[in-house]
Amino acid sequence: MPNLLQALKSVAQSFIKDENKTPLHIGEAMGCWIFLALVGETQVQTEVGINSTTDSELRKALQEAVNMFKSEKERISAFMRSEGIPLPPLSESKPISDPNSVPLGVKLTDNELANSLRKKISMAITNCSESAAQSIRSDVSLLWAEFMQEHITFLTTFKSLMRKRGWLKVPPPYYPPGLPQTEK
Amino acid sequence: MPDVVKAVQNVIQSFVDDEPKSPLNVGEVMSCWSYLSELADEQVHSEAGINSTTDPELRKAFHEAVEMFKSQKERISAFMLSEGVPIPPLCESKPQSNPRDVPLGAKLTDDELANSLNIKIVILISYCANAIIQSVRNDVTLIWLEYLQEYMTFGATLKELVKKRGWLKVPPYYYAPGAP
Repeated sequence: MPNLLQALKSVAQSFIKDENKTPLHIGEAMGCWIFLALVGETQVQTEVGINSTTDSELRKALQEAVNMFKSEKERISAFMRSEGIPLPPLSESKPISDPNSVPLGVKLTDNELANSLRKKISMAITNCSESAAQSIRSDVSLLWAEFMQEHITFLTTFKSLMRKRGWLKVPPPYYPPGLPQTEK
Repeated sequence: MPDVVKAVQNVIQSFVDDEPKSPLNVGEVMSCWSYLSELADEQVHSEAGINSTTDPELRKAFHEAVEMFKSQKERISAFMLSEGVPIPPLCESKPQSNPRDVPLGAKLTDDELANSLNIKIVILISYCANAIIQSVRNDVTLIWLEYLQEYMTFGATLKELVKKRGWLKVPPYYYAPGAP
């Protein structure tokens, strides 16, 4: 997967050199703005997740997600500032607190936390691909390809954790009529 | 808004009556299945939201959302069962608890809660729209249309609240060059 990105990068890089830097168009600006607003929210909610569970594997995964969101937030805000796009109002990081003192009416179970993180990551992937499809400037496309690759890599590893712990929800299997029985 | 939907519903209804009922296609089943599991998640998150805030207006909005999710959950499960589609594992309702006892590291602010509810509605609206595109049977289209209309109505009232309280995030304005 990272190799794929490397290949894409070198191709895009050669175009970026030749390209005149036009100002961003409104679609690109909107993509950046929405993504930053969403990543900011998601980061805070994931921090809340860390403060609601004592499961070490899940905490580790959530922490990795927070780190990823933070680094993406930094990169995209730096880019937005350099292009003159105003930043959306962002939520502040949550303090650390004891998961055992969260009342049960607010505490999400490990299963719910894992599924909500999975959903957030899938949403971010959709977001990245939509923005990549809209962007005209190669350096902007590259930015989205990078974010998308990070999210997909994270989701792949996270899904194996979810499967191991029985948190993964699997849609009904597709049985085509007359499928030959294969020996496994 | 409800009038427009009513008109569309009437048109579709006339087709539903004449249509021979084919089995659901895999896309329709997939939308129902993932939508139901999504709904249950959102319901639980909203209940956790109610238990995290003392703001009466926001609590009311969350209560309305929970009621809406619950009623949709019932309707879609009944439809799925009647079509022989298995039900996904669903989250259970949260008990009531005191919002003041939530440690600050696990408590979302009112602003964050309102925006997260907003995002939920946005996701669900696009779910419904997607499902409409994929559905072939008109009675299935009608179900999604009904949900879509409920969200649009709810979203409009929620936006008023969010705007009033200053929680609304607005993307940068578009200044047309040379605008008078």
